[in-house]
Amino acid sequence: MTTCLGCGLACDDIAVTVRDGRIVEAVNACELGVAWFAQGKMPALARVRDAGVTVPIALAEAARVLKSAKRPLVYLGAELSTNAQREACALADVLGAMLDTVTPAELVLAVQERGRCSATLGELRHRADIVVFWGLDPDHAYPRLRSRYLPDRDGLQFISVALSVEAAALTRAAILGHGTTPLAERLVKGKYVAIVVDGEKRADYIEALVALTETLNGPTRAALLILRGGGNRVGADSVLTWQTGYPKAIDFGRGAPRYCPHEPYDCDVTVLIGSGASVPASLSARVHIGPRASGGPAPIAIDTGIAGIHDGGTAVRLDEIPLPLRPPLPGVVPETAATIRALTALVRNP
Amino acid sequence: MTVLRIVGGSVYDPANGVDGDARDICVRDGKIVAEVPSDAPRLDARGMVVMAGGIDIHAHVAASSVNLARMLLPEEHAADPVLAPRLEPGDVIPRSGSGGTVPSTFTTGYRYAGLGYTTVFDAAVAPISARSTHAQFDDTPIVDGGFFALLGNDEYLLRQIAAGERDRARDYVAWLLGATKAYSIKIVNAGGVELWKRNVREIKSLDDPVGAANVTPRAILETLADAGNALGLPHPVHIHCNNLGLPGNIDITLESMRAVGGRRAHFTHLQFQSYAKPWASAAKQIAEYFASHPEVSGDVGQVMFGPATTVTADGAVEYLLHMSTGRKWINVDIELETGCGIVPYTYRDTAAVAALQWVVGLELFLLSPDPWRLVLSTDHPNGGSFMSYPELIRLLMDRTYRDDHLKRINQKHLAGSALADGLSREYTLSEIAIITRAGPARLLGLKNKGHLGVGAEADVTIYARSSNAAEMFATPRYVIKGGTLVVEEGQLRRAPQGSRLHVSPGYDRAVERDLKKYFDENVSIAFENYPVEL
Repeated sequence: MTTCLGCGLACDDIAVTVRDGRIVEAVNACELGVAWFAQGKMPALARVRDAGVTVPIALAEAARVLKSAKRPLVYLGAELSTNAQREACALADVLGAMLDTVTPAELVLAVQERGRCSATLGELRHRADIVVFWGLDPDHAYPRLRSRYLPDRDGLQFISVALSVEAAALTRAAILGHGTTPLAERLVKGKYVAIVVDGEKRADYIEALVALTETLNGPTRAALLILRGGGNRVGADSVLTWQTGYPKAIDFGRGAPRYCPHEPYDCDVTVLIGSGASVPASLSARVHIGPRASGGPAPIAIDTGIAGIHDGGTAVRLDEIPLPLRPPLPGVVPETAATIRALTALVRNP
Repeated sequence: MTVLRIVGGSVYDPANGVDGDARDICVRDGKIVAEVPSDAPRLDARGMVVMAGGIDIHAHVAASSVNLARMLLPEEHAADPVLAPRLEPGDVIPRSGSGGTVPSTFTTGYRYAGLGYTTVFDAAVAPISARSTHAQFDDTPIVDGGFFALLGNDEYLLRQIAAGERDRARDYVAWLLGATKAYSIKIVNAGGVELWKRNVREIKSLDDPVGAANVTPRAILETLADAGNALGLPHPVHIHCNNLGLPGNIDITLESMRAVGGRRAHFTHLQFQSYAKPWASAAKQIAEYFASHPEVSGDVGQVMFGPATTVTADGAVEYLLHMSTGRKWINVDIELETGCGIVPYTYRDTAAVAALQWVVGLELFLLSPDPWRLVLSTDHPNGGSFMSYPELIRLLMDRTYRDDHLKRINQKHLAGSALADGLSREYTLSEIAIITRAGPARLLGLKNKGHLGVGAEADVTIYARSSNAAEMFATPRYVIKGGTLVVEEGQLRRAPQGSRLHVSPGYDRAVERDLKKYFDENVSIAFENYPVEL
């Protein structure tokens, strides 16, 4: 069984068949999963500007550029194993760099402001009797959410709402005894309410829904499920938090980590680690270590693998459950974590 | 460093009956040995105090829950940025981090070692998240780490109790500890976390039903205490009782001790479990119970005035704390196993309950009939940070200091308490060595830790004497971990990787077939993905 990182649900029941070095089948995968496992074939090149080079030569050039940088930025794409994220954080620490990820700042700031009531997917499957999809069509963005984690059963109600932040506030006010809303009346009758929101697309909803879910606890029990996109995004939040104390937007420039989620990057050299796919277009990387880096615009590029397809280790599901990856195509491209570790060693000891 | 002679220190090694005698301690290949060659490097410890490395029997340092607490506290971290230490050149990368009550992992390892602690147990890990605990320990340098697996509200276990399948329950426990690479069984609020998921917040007695009529806190305690003892675990079972933090909880605490009577069992952070109603200290009743029941052990869970972060599997407690303080709150209901609650908290000596908690903890220490069985903890970071251990040691060793402090705190709930009436006991250095290393080692079944006899692991801490015990214990001059000199002249110089402490008890493999079916029907991850490889 292999864990699919096509979205944050990280289904770990995918039976992948490899033939002649290619993934030919991914049983149990949804359409996102099929697309995810279609990324098996990967170049394994290294490049410095237009010249194809060996990995050690590309790493030496990357180390040279990084050591002469005044304000480097290490930016993490989504598709990295927990191990690669640990190594990347060490690189940023050694460089005194900025370090950031694709996680929306609004999402983590909302949780840091007031906390959050949540539950793991299995708990919701076991216990929820009202599930509210708040501004999202789960079957489209997270195709197996309902079939695998929230299957129909007696007494389970699904509610879909496309309500604003203001409506969430009014619903919360009604639960606190100020006025009424139809939704509030339904929710307090539940034994265990799950509110589901897309943390990638509707980060602006998070604070209001954290508050609403918190308030539902007391009258009933409730959990907010924040859905996350593909790759190992919650893994990045977790690793950066345990290594530095902050989940993203970390500046090592003064020697100790400083949290700067509100500040724009002020950097001269960017190292992109992981896939460029989910990374802001404005980010212009001088060094790129990741899948298909050699085909991208970065002057120094080293192809590495994708977590869960080529790279092993661990990923973290959107509800913080860690899962083993068991990649179907190990060893066909350099491993990302080992490549970063080699770069860090060069930066420390030329 | 593979060979070393520590020369002439006053050795406090209570496990071997050594009480301050001037002796040499010899180290070779990571172990304490009888002799080393005469040309071996020497470390002059004359005039200093030599003890084994400290062992923390109960802290929260490496779990998914702890990491959520870290994430929740950017303001604490911003107030305590931590530069990378200046280590000897080498392959080990010195790492920066952040402190506060829930430090980053590297900082946690460095700071524990800087206090002379070389072994730390995380007291509450949701088994399904064990991988995260191991990964966090991998990034917590120097200290050896282990964890206790939360089982007191586990759905599969409760089903076995309901069905009267005690043997199956024991096999399950053995499988789970081995699969997750855990060290012991943890019970948090037996049955109460399951009830919290149903919005029931109080347990009236050990015989309250948790779902099925025969599934009760008492049955859970008995089943797991039996399992831990029958499996021969080095630390059979680690128990956080019901109704933590509530006035009058002394009754259910003592009832829980009686429920597992005759079996080895460890009751944790007893300070939070020793209140009469209306609010008053019940520490004396714990001391009396301990005096007549040699199979019982505990740690104190002292409250220290100042900032703390409460983080526990006991979700209902955190709900109450959030409602009473209005401070930010995390709750996670973790499938089929346990819960998690987090609320930042400040213990103020002007607050009546916090003052009582401080007194109850000190009374537990000072009335304790046997320091070997009631050891030091602050339930880090719940009662205060592990960084406050030196201050706590001073409170135990220095009556004048303690009494001065006692006069300044809120007196509302202190009438009739033993401490307010005057407790003259002052812990000796030997007793401090017992409650911080020798005792925890014995309670954890760690035969080669917590002492300095031949064959022990070479985890050694050397302190410069001071009339101020807090200063003395905050800044050891030398710390040796597994034979490596990690702290030299008070400076952290090396940061080797610690090892992992875990058990793999035997069991009837038939349980795995049943579990596979249970996982397929109930759990959101594959059975094959549950076990952790180290």
